[in-house]
Amino acid sequence: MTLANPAVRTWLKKHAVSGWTNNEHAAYAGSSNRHSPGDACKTINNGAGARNVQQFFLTSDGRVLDCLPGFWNPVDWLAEATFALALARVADDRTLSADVRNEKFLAAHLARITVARTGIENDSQLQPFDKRVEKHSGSDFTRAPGLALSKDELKSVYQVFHERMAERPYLPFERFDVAAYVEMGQRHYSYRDASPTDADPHPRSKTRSR
Amino acid sequence: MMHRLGSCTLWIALTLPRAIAQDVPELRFDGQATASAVRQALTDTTWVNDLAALRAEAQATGKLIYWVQLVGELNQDL
Repeated sequence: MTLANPAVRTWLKKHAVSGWTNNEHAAYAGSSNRHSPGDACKTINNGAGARNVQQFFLTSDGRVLDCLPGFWNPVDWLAEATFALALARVADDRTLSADVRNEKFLAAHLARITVARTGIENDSQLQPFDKRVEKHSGSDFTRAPGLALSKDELKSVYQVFHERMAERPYLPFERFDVAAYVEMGQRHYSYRDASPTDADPHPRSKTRSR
Repeated sequence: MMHRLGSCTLWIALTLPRAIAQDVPELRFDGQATASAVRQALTDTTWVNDLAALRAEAQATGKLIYWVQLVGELNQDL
């Protein structure tokens, strides 16, 4: 659980004003199986459910600092929230030109990929059915020739979302193209159509707290 | 703190045992303990579904905006 995590709640109370909206009618929203409140929760990787949940960190005037696609465990959520605060300080620095601020934004998001905690790559992998969709040369989940450790290796959601954010420096929320940003994996997944290789459609993250 | 969504609506959504249209399996309770924790978490935070109003409050307080878009209602755990 993330929003119920005490550290997350403390951060929100101290640093943010919070809001939400139901985007079920958005063209990019996913459509999968329905689950009742009584169904058991499962532990899942960061980034699962990108088409159904987007968690934005915005400046006070509504520019996008960071956007977590899907679900994120409390540890990594707090790391991104702290990162968003740092980006907000750059946005507020009036000694910087807009070009310099944007360059810092780009560099900061790309640097996140190299300074992330150990294990986040594994905890942020696409789910198996989403990997099948992204295994094509046009996907930004595929690595450049020579950089993949195996022919099936894809980038993590963590890496891809920071690369996508780097291309969108301090965009006003109204100009943020959510559909393109959450374009990853299947839009519809049915457990009845599960492949035998989908042993568990929600691989467990060892670091996700419950 | 009272949430601005309308306490009646939100509490009804939290307490009625009904199948909620959810597109992601994680958006569900795993029992009353979790439901209670989520209810507590939600009441600790004031949730607003008007981004313009959030901007005004954020600029007045110097805080960031945390804005969640999701399929369904903010009555389950993220």
